[in-house]
Amino acid sequence: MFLGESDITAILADLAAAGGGVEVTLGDVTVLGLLDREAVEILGDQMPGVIAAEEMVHVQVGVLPGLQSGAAITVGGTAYTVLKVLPYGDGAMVRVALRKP
Amino acid sequence: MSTIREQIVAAAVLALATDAPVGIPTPVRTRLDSPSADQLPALTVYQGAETVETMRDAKTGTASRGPIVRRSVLLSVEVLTRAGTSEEPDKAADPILAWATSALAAAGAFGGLANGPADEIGTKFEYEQSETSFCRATQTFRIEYQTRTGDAESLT
Repeated sequence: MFLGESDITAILADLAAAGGGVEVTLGDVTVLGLLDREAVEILGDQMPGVIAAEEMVHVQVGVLPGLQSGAAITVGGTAYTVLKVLPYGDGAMVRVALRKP
Repeated sequence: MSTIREQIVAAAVLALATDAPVGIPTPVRTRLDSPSADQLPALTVYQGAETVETMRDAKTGTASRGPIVRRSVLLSVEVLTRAGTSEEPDKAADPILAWATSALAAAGAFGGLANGPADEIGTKFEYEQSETSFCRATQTFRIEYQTRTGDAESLT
């Protein structure tokens, strides 16, 4: 099923109403997005690795002008820096990898 | 009783912990669990490989290769760091690595357990990115010592 622009807006609005979305702010623009936070083990080899978190937020494509690597972004009230922007699914949304500044 | 090798590793950990400057993490002898990002920096000491060399080749008619074997153990000193505000993770590791170099040099022959000071072989830097940038810097030291043949717990 293709999720068109109007579908995504409606879905994110429904999620926000149910408490499932987060506010994503870049510059003067605030939109709704979906935050994923996954624990990962990194730099493990001979010794146990570090438990870190991979944080990604999904937003509709094109709604945040200036969304690019290195941009300052606020997700759910927390300040991040955009690590990278990746296409997601059929291209109607993007996956934004985050890092703490 | 423990092997001379184990005593050397313990002495190295003690050397890294003694009079360490502010900001140097407490060394751990072989980490058993995974630190979280907010527990960094972390300093871990563990042994890698050991080689053993006899004093002479066995001669015809005798099984003896001499009463002493020369041993060389590779000691790993691992530093885990994360990026800080305006500080790259490998830069954050730098003072800890410098401390390890100086502390092990100052330990000399580990109270007579080794033949001499630890030789620093090199440092490997590895990086990974998730919520921030992380670095693992692993220094390798070679420590030479000797024990009785067939008895790793006894010095000559």
